[in-house]
Amino acid sequence: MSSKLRLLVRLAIIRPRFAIGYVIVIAITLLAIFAPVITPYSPTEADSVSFLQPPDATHLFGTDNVGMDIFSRSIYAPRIDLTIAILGTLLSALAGGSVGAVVGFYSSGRGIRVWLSFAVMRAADVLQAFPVFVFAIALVASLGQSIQTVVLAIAFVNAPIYLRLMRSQVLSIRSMRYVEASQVNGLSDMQTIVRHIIPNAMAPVLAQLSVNVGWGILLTSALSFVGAGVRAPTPEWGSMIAMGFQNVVTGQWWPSMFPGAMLAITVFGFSLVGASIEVLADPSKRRQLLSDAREHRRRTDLPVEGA
Amino acid sequence: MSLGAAEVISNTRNASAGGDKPPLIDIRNLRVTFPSGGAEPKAVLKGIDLAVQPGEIVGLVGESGAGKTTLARSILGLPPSPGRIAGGEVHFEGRQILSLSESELRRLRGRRLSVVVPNPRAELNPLLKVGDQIASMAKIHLGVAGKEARRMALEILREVQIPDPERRMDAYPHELSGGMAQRVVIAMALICSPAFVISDDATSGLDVTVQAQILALLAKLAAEHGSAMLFISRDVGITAHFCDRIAVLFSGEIVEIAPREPLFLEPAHPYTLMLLAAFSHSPKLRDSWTVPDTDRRRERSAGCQYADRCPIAQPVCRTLRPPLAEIGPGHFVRCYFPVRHA
Repeated sequence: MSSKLRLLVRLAIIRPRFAIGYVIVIAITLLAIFAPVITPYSPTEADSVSFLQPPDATHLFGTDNVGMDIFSRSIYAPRIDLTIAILGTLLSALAGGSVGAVVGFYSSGRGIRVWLSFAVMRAADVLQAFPVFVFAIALVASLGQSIQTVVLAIAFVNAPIYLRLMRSQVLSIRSMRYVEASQVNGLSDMQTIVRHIIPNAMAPVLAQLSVNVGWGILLTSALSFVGAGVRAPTPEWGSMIAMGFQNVVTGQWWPSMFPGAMLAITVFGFSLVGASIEVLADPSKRRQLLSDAREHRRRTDLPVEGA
Repeated sequence: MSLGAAEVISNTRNASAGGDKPPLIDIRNLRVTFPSGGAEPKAVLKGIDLAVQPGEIVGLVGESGAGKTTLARSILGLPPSPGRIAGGEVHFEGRQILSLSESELRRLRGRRLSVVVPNPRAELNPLLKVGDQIASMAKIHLGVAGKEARRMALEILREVQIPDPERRMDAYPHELSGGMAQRVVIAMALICSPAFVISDDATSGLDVTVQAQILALLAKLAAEHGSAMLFISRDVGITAHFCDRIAVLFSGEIVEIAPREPLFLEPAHPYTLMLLAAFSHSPKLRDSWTVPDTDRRRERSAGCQYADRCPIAQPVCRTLRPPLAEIGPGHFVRCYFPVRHA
């Protein structure tokens, strides 16, 4: 156990950016979970006498223009942002990934299935041709403004990514010998896809998941910023930035800056975690990483020579 | 491609050779084509006739590219992509299986007809424990519950003589040696006690000693389970030890088929002689039958496929396809000038 811990520490030393990513993501998640314990004030109650207070000991991040504590709201915000982003991303991976697996499996040969695969891929082209943000706003406008709609919008704009990713994976895995063998052994197409193809295609999808959660948070905030997402007074980074940004020109920078910084750091953290998963999921990159760790141990464990 | 009348007659005789019992599997005039750049698709199997009796082990030898694997896969109705079955019939247990629906075929594959494949480690899903992969065959085909399937998997692992089978059940494919992985693949092929086993070059890439063990095991298990076997190999020597009858495949055609003794003692087709000479220790035999092969992949549209490499080819060989003719009991040769042995 302790040797595993030592390896983890060593990996953190040779790849500090990965360690930073995990620290950020874990810290933000813990903050969101324990928000009621950590925060000194309610995130939605306004203290009407002390509005636009600059940061000080009583209000760590200051107060906004209606007198709500920005520190408390910033800590509560990831509860909404993370939930929406994670749900939307999982939904898009589930829908895009499973359709992509089937499309990839049937994308060559003859018959109606090939034409269906072709049609699905062209539909994905059309979906991706729209600017993501415009597409998301259009969805919110047509389905009505609610948290479910934002989740759905994230799922929709990301689904083609998983569709393509899964399809390209399946195209290469489909020609693996164990896939052919499973058909020789009498498995149906669906049994083959579920049992042999999807599990072997998951690695890059997992890497994409983390990156997409970061993007999902950005999209949620952006929609809320323009008023199409989560509405105030629900604590949410995008709407907080929007509430405070008129005050920035008059010198009260804190209502926008703190939630903005939290948002940036969180997205950064998820991107780093995604990059690390990509390395860990790729056997050759993982070997490189582990050999770097061994090299580091060899160097640091050597007795120091000379004085 | 039309068949001469004489050839049809000899083919039907060939199908019933080897006894009066109906054959377990009867392949008739099986033709497989691959699309080619031109208008005419390339014929990879040019009318294969082969019948296997229950309990019989038939060897199939030939160089790479002769169509051995294509034949193995086409018998299951799964010719290697992008190949297509252009004609012919495969009769198995009283049914013409190439005309069955996809789901009926699936119930046969792996259950009544199974294939033991080469490169065993590539044939196993790297993410699943081997015990589960073997058990899933029983679950899918025999409909047994999880616990019973695992018990059967453990039993068949014991039968294929894997050391420490309880522990191997939970091993992943990358933790096995090549020989052990081959045993796992054999276990998967045999767990449902199929009536017909196709061993497709199953021992290539293994050490010679391991190869011998696996072959002995295959023969023993086939006998115990009462399975007939089509044993495909590039190594003529192995088939001599192992098979009741041997067919020689060249360029998608069976050029000679005979019981073991006649084939090895009185080989009649020049190509069979060449194959045997290549494995022979006699320099005299090697010199007289090994020809420098130039342009070996060239296809002949007419005549004997072997004519361009044959040292005794005559003008007629290049124009007319020779029929498969019987020259001894159960001994058929596709050659106008079969070699006579004094």
